[in-house]
Amino acid sequence: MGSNPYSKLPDYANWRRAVTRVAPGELDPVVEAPFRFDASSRVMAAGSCFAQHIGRFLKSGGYCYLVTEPAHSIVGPKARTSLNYGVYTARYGNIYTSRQLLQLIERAYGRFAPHEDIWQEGEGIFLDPFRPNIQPAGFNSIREYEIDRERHFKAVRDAFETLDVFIFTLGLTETWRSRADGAVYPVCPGVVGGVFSPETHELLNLGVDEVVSDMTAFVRRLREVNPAARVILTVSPVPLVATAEPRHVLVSSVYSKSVLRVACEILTKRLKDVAYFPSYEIIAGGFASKNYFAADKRSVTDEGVAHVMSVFERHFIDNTPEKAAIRLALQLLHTSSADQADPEARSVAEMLKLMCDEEALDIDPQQDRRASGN
Amino acid sequence: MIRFAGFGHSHIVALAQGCYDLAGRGERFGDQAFEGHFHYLYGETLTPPIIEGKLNPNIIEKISEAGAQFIMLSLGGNEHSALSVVQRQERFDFILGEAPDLPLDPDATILPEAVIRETLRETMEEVSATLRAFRDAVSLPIIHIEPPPPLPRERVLDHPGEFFHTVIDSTRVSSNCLRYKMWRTQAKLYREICERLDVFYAPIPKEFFAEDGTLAPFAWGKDATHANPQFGEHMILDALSLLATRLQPGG
Repeated sequence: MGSNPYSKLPDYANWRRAVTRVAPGELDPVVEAPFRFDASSRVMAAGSCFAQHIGRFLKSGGYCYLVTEPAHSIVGPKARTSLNYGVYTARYGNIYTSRQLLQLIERAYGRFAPHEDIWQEGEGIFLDPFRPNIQPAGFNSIREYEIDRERHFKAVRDAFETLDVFIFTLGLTETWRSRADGAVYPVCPGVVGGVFSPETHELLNLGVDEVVSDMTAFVRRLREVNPAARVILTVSPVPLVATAEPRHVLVSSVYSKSVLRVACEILTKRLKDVAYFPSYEIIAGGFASKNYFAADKRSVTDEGVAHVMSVFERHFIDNTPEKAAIRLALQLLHTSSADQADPEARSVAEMLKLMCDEEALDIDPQQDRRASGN
Repeated sequence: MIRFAGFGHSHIVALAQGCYDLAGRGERFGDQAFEGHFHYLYGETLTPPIIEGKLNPNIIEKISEAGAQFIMLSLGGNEHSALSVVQRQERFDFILGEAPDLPLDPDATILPEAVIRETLRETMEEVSATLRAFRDAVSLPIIHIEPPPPLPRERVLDHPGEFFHTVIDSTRVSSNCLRYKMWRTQAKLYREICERLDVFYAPIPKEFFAEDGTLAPFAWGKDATHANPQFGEHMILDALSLLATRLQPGG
């Protein structure tokens, strides 16, 4: 038997050696990342809900997770979370589709202004249709909404212009679109806010060509303002929560993920400095000899996230001893400051506590802390 | 005779003193005498107010000893001041939804009201938990007295007290308007928490406000954040009025 293309395959190309014989939790489907970045690289993350894990990992690991829309120093750690500060680089919320991402950069640079750009939910409650869950009870007025949106767009522009690496997690192909101007919503109007109408809204289920076109246009726009930007694409392993197509949600889910996976393949071949990272394969492929889905068969377990991020770190992050030392220092800095209130705020609060203690001492000691009127 | 027990932090002092003064003058509520027993929650035996998720047993004992028919609370109340009495390096302001025409600081970052509200909510967590512990522990009516509005900027600068010297730079003391808006936001949260827990809420009457929303001068306490016994007297009588239908004459 002579040699053939399969006779001298490397281990990674052979299923038995690369998958079957791999210990549970050790599956590593990355062969060689096209580029690496280090702890000093400014990383922006966006995408569907799985993208939040990436940001959390980068922050806790001492990497330079770019945050251009930070909370004001009065805001405490719990409030920061409920107000979506620091969850992503800026307060754009989850970006589920390629169309939504393209729309964000177009809006941030003033090239697109959707016709339906605010939802009034009652007296003094206004929602941003493009990030309806960004803060509890929305905005109190159109004026407040517009002020915040301006600041948000500036933060988005700052992020795109200063990032070194952009990690985007593609989540869905199904989205709802305005018939008037093609604006897409992260959540179908009428679900969290707004009013759904078949006359004004329609389902859009993106195909491979559309995702490739959107992402190509996005990368072009990104490099217009940041020529050196590198991009890492990944597909969220989290299945669709529901489908608007007249078919089983599992079938829709597999279709969506397949489209996104194929689009990523085309994009990485066509575009320079665009890489693919196989989150989907590690979690949803079912070949890691572990079930990484929680009881709802949708949420990814912490163990699954840890597996994904360890593979990511191994291949995409440049960890020389010197760089690891820098990262460790940054990590210590992060953990010592992240969950603490602003020192000045603490100082004033303590000062007031002291004042209040003083006030309490002022209760008339002669009166036995009792007063009666009769 | 109406008997009640009062608990709280620093603002309880004006209420206690107001009650003493009413007593000293022999005032009655309608045709009934009343007696209040006041306790400072930072007192040695009453802190922490929550032990293993329940109200500190020493507090329950005080309520029992007083033969109380209702509980009067004045928990926290200075959260708004802690956040806003002085401006940070990045000045901030916000549009108050209930009064959107109040002026904005032109040099400040304008934050959404939700940011202010959720920040205050976080700083009020301990107060909120304490109120819930009171509600869970006793079936008596509970009334919470609205904390007084901020004292004006000039008063803060005139009476900084030794604590303020280290941090106060006169150019950084916030405007009366911002501090009033912070207080309004805080007061709304207090009211919501009370409603949720079936706790009566006694709001500050209009006459205690100056035109700019700060505490009227006749109600100023001795420092930069507290009200005086005159305020306390008024709020005691208001609380009794609010609870009148729930109070049964007792021995």
